[in-house]
Amino acid sequence: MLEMTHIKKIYRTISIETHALEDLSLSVKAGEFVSVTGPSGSGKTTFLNVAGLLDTFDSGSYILDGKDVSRLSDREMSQIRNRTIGFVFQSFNLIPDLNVFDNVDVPLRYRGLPATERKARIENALSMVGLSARVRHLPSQLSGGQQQRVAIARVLAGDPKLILADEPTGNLDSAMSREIMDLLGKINDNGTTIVMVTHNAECSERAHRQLHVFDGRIADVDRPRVVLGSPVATPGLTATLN
Amino acid sequence: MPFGPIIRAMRHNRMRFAFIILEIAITLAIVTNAVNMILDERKKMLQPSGFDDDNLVSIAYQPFAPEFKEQSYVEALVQKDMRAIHSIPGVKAVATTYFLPWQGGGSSGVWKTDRFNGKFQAQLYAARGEIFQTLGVKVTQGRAFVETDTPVDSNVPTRVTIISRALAKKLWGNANPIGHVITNGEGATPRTVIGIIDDFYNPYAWNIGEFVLFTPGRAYDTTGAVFLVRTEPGAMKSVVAQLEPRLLSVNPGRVFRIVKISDLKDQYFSGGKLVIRAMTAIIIILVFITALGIMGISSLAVAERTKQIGTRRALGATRADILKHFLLENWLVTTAGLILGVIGAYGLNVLLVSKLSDVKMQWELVAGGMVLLWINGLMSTVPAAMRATLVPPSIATRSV
Repeated sequence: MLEMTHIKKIYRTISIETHALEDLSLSVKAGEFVSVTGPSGSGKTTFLNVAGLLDTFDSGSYILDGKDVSRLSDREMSQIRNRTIGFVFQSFNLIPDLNVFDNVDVPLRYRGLPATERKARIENALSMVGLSARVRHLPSQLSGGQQQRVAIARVLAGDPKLILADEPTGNLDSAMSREIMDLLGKINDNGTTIVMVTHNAECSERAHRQLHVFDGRIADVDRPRVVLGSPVATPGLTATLN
Repeated sequence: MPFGPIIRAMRHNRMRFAFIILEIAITLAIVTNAVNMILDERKKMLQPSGFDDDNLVSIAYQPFAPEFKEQSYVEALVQKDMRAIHSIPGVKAVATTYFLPWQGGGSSGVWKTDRFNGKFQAQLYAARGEIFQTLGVKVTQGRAFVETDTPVDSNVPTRVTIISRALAKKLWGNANPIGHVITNGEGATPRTVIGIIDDFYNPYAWNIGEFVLFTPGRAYDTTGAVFLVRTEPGAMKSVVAQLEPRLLSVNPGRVFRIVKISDLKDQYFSGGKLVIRAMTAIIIILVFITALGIMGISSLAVAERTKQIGTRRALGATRADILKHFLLENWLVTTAGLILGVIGAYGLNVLLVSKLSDVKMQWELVAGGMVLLWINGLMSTVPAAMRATLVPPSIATRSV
């Protein structure tokens, strides 16, 4: 589903050069549920941005759903984000002025689907997350858990092959977090690949595979001595993994 | 087009959009009425008088010498004066008349005719000499005045008149006006129409600018006289320079006032020119302020919604989608303002018609104003909308 090889991402300002991703390689199979953990500044968000085509990278190659997405135009990347990827954000990222129905409708409109199909998809997605009765509510009239469920409905309506979740339970209490993780688990059971960045160990354990990002490199927690994309583990990473 | 979600989202920022809608509406209402007034003023300025305005000059005198107290002396002097003026090189024609084109007034009266139902109002001017040659107007039907049309005794009323085509048409339609009689009251001497001039316009109250009666008569007495002089094209300067010396050589006991008709016309339209300048300034300022308002609101909308734009990009919006979103939002606001503005434009026009002007609003002006403000709104939104397209999708994952 997702094949990253020797990805490098460097942020440059006039005086500073920050190596956010350093020779990162990663393979995620279709249907997998992978969690990515790591300390602040380790490159988790950069990894997610690159994986979700929200940002470009400087070198390496990236195959997504069998297609080389290393050098695509802005328009092509938008289309892939719209059709192949679904995003779940830490702060839900709902449009505050739009009601639940219109929020779920946002990516479907960009896909150019006819109104009847959009309506059916939205109603089905909201039914799956248990919010059919809240279609006319504004985000501000919902709890955090409900808002995240709307965000997940927005993903479900698009029927993506890959879901990238950025700290999906980061702004929720433990009960709500479990609810959201259960929902993501069900979606994964239906065959959708999920890559989830999280700080939460409990959430991370719900994944099939746990990866750890450190200094812009990624390691498989289940196989701590191997730093993917790098022949030798860095001392810092080894210490963390041990 | 995602009209529904945009309109529903705009409802949550009612006050902000209401302000800009109101601003656009007021701008349309004022701009269309200002343009209407400008066009009306320009129409008045471009209205041809039918006269040779650029080659006409009037010279009037006021006497201080004692011999002017005798009417017979004045009578003889006027004839000498006219011959003296005629002898100036470049003079084409001369007449005595109190009628001065573009003076913004003159004399008028209320009249009756043999067949017209009721009374009518028209301008009335006495003239002697080559009045129509001097004005540059042709008598197209009937005949011009001859010297015998003016009674020898100044107390005897004249019995003939030459009127404008517009007045003849108003009174008798397409029937032949020659021979018809006009009178200004019971017992008054009737005047028979002997000739028609096609072109005549002199701005006057009550919309009678095109209605005139010329009668043969003296435009002079013991208190002074007025001569209207027509020059050859290009001879105005030299004729004006010679007028006073020539007449002083006939009799030095008087003071003169010379006015070129082109100056009189400029003076008459000075108010109109001021209106045009003021209205033009108002239009520019209003359109500029509205553009600034739209730019401000658009910039604020983009600045406030940076994360939202990033989220939309993350969810698959292309840069073109983002551009379209902001332009569409502006188009809806502008259109709402313009719809309100159309009502305002006609409402303000009704108010102006009742208080100031008599010019009704033309729909073409309102349509033109709408197009102008649509373009203005679009152009004012483009900079902010273009900035919005540069918001990267990675903004969506930033926590701040």
